[in-house]
Amino acid sequence: MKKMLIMLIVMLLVPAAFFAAGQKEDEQVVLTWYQWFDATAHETELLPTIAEFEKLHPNVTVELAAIPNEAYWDRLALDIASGVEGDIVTLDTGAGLMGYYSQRPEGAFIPLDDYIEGYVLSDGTRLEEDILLIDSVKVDGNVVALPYIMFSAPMTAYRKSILEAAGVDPEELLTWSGYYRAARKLTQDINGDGKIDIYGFGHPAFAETISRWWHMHWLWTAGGGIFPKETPPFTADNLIFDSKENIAAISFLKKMLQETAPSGQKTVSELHSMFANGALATVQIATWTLGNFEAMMSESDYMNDIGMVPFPTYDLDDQERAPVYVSWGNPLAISSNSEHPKEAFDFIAFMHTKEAQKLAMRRASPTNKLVYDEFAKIKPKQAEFVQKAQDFEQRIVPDIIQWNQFDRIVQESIKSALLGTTSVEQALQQAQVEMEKVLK
Amino acid sequence: MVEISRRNRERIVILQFIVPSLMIIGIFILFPITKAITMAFQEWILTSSSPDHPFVGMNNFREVFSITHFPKMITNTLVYTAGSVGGKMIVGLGVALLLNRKFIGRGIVRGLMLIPWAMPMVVVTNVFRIALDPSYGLFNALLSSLPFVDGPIQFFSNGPLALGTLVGIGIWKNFPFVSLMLLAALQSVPQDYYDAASIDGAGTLAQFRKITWPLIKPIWNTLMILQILWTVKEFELIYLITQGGPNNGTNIIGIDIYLNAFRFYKIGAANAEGILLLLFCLVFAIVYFRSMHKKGDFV
Repeated sequence: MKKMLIMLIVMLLVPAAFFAAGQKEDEQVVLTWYQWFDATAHETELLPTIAEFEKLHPNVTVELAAIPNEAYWDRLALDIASGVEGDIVTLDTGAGLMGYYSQRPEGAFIPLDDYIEGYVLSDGTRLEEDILLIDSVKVDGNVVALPYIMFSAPMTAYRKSILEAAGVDPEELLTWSGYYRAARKLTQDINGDGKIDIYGFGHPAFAETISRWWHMHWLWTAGGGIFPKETPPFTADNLIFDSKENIAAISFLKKMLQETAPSGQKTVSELHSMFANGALATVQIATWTLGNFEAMMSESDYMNDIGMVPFPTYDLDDQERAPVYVSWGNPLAISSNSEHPKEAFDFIAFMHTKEAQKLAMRRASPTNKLVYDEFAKIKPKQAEFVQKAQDFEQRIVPDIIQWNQFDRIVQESIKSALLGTTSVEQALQQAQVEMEKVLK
Repeated sequence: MVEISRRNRERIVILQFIVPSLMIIGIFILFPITKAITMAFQEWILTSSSPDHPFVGMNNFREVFSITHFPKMITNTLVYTAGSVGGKMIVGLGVALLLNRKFIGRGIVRGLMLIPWAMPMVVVTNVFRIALDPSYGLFNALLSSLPFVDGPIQFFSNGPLALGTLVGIGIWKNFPFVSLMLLAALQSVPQDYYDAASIDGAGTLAQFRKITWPLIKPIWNTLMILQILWTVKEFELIYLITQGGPNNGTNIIGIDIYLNAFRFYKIGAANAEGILLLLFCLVFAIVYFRSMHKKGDFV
């Protein structure tokens, strides 16, 4: 009787085990991709790429978690804390990546080195050789994310017609002192009603997440920053935020704002709209800004009336310092909670195929070197931007766990200094004290 | 079969009525409050990856009190609450008294009055940011054209003016609710009282002092306490316009709680601030319930 019972159980269990194994083989894998990109990016870039990937991997479905830009980072932190984040997570170098990584003792994202080694995409792209910034996102020597698009800032964009009418040579914009003189000439009351119609310069004093990109290159080019060259050790005694170089940079910006820019706290978007409308003669731009101009301006104005020169060289106090640019990327990481890391890696690698990269060119610079000829044809201005930016040193803000607190301190102190709520020296000194407290 | 006494049967019936409510209150109110209080005494920093969240005594409170801008933040919170609640109550009463009079189109005006209150906060903040912009703001341009105003006004560029402007926007947004409530109270005052007072020779001011005010005072007090409780927690209006700046000039406790919890991921410190706010609100809540008891609304 006992033997019969055992045999019966075995007979029932063996087919069940085979059935379960078969199921595993054909199991439909669903990957969730956390990102904040807009509806246009979804339609023109992400969904077509996902469709291509799913054709090649019929057992994998990639679902886009559409999280609004302004809510993304809060949601990501809370979801990692709750262990419910997506399999694939989009990050932003220079937006506190280390903070999110450190939310789990073993790291919130898995190391990718073993996956990357020798990986060749179906179109012949070799991850190790053909992808720019492939090893730029490292924690403890391990690559934890792959940047599939990248950005640079800033170039100085100018309206050719306004400069020509005011008799300003674009070359004047190449130094800080020349830029100041040019901006003053460009700030004009055209119709004589006593109000300024065209401003020579614009700078965002409104503190928002992206303001860090618009302040830091001024500090770096003047020889300052948060830490020397933003390199470790990131300790309190190494802070240089109240340095005379930073004071010089913010004092210069304040003078430019007071004499040549629209007053009040303008956002980056407001300034870029003013530039597109012809109310602003010059403004600093990033690669993605050109896409916005293209949408806001007529085709002829966009193609013929926008000129670009490199960010100005610091030439005050009888010193000369070459411009320092900001560079960053949107790397894709795989959650350490993902049950399908291999499939997730196949997908983030697929985002580097030539076809996927061509679709991404609309709003950013591709990281696949093999598509750059095409990039120059499809997006000539963006390609020119990237090309020119390569001539200069590129930096990124320090990737420290406390970055979000630093970000707020940087933004608020510079805003107070620019608006004149406190003196430049006092604002930066207070900020440094706050930073020391945060680090300690 | 177990015999259940009549008294126990009644108890079971009572329990059947109150258990669902108790469960809902327990899950959605008591548990979060208890959890928040516990977290205020634990090390809860999302970026520290410490999974066991050890108890740290009063450390989170100490951290909150040691924030450089803490005194400024508390002052701003009190000034904003006092200014905003005072403004809402006075403007609300004024508008309610006007709308209680008979005039042509009163119904339409009463409807229009509710528009600011019904508008989403994001729309309100954008409208005011644009209207008050010193470069192209319509309201700023109108003010600048006045003979005694020197150029465009930088409404959000200096702390006290920015706070004052936010108080003004808060009053504009929320006075209709106060007006609506007071209007309802005014309409419940019998007309006979005013007629009798008129015969006795009482003027408008005397009628207000001796009849209107004593009769609407209980509603006024309740409304004021509710407004204090709602205003002290303000977040959206300020965050969407100034984000607490410049130089923490408009930073109130609601902003700081958000920043600590969702920007800096210091959940413990944010909860400690939340507890301080809870204690502040509790004082007014007790006053509110005592006033309700006095009125006999609770048995």
